[in-house]
Parts: sequence; structure tokens; C-alpha cells
Amino acid sequence: MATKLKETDVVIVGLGWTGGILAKELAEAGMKVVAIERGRMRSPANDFAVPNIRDEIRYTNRTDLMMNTAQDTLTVRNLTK
Amino acid sequence: MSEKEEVSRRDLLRSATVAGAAVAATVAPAGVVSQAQAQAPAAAPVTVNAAAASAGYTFFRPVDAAFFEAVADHMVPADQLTPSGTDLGIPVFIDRALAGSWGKGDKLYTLGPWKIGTPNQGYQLPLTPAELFRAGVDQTNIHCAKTYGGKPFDGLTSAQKEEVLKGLESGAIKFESGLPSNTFFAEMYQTVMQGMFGDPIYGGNRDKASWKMIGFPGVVAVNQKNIVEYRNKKYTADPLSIADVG
Repeated sequence: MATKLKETDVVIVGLGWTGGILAKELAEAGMKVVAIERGRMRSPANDFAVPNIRDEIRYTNRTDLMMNTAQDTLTVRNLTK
Repeated sequence: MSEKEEVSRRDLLRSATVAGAAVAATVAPAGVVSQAQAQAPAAAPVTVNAAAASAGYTFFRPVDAAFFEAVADHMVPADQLTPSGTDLGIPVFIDRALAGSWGKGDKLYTLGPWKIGTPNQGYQLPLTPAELFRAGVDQTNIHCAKTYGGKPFDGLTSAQKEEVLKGLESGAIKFESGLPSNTFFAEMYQTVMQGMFGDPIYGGNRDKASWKMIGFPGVVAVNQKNIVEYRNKKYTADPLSIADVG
């Protein structure tokens, strides 16, 4: 069900490199910024700590930090013969 | 139950085991039993053979175990470079991969439409990896039985195994069920490589033998401080597994 959040000046969907810089600049210009990420909460101490973050099978081969494609994905399927 | 109570109960059970004869003698009055417990020497901590505990299959049927041990030993024979694929733990790695969430297709998009894709479109089958591997084993063994006088893959000679694996890789072997044999081979080959070179915490690459072979230092070796000293020189270090560091 949709949740209505409080109104704000700027909403940034996806706080990656670009979104992060945008958020910083906009906040410094005096705007109220809300950034939205999907997925569960991540913390550096638990999700990015050495040595486990070097686990290539988990993160590279099985893409554990990525969106679960069984739930939500774009896919390429062949429809032509 | 508090922790203290739990510990004392465990101690009681252990001393009961040591003084088993006294406990078994039901005619002994309670006072005799507690005296025997008081006199029993402190039991040595129970130890386990960690290596033996990590072996064993949780997903493979016997036919799967025989198949993947044969595949692992054929692709990774025991020689001057590595122990055999089975001794490296590659079948254990594959078994755990298939038994776990990856094998169940936890993060795999498995909805239609089901058309044969082009090579650059990636995996297009409705099967989870666990289903694909079981079907692949059965279909390969049917092919082997028909072609080599009733023998399963693991009963073939080395030359025949080579022929079958190449036939799977190229897709020249046509499975009766219509499953694309080269898709099965590609997924299987990838898990063999992961079992060989992945971190030992996953059950393969035992004793970091593959990392030692190629000189890979493992998870935490960062050589940036020695970059001048080691420029154009081989950097040697004992490889570190995640288990060695965590």
C-alpha cells in the first residue's frame, strides 16, 4: 500500500554517485532533500566489512548486494523465431 | 532456565557419562551415585575432526555424487599442480551451491516466455540451477548408456569422458528431453571453476591449494605500501581465506 510522506523541496530517487553530489549541492543551497533507496538498510560495519566484502562468490557471482531479480527486473527475452 | 543452571546441568550429564557404570546400576542408592560423580576426574573437552565434519553431501543423490566426482576429477586431475578435483572439494562446493539459495533460484528470474535465446541473452530456462543440474546428470547418463554400452558417465574411460564433455560443451550431444546440453555444461563448468578457485569457506579449494598454485594471495593482501620494493617482482605471501581473517 502506498504511504504518503511529508512534502519536501527535492526528492532524489537512487542516491548513487550522481544523486549524492546533487543532494549535497541542493542541501547546501538551502533546500530540504529526501533521498529514496530501495532494498533493505545497509551499514558499512555489517555489509561492507573486510574480509567478507571480498567474497567474490557471494557478491560477484551471486550478486548479493544487487536487487533480487526474482522480484523485480528488466529482462531480455526472444519473441521472434 | 538461566545460563548457570544450563551449564551445571550439562556438567551433570557429562559426569553421568563418565560415571556411566554407577548410573546404570539402578540398584545403587542416590548417595553412591553423587559420590561417584564427585570423584570422577574432570572430563576432557570434546573435540571434533573439523575436516571430516565439512565433507558429505546434502543435495546430491548417489548418482549425482558419482557424476560430479567423475567430472571434477576429469577436469582437475591429480598432478604436480593440484590434488584431484574431489580432494580439492569441488563436488562438495557444487553440492552446497545446489542445496542453498543459489541452487533454488532465489535470485533468478524464471518467468517466461521460454524461447531459445541468443548467446548474449544469458540464461533463459525455466529451471532453477538445482533442477537444471539434476536433469543434466540424468540426460547425460542416458546419452552415455546409449552410446557406451549401458555405462553411466562415471563408468567411462578417460577418453570417453573427454568426448562426452566436449559434446556437451559444443551442444553436439542432443538430450532426449530437449534440454540444451551446452547450457548445462556452461553452468556446470562455472561451478567447477568456482569450487576450484573460490574461497575455501564454500567447501572447495581445500587448503587453498588452487590459490597456492597460481600465487593468489587471498582476501586481504594489499601491497600498496611495498609498491616500490616489489615493482616488477613476484609478490609471494601465504594466501588468506575469509576464515583466516574473520
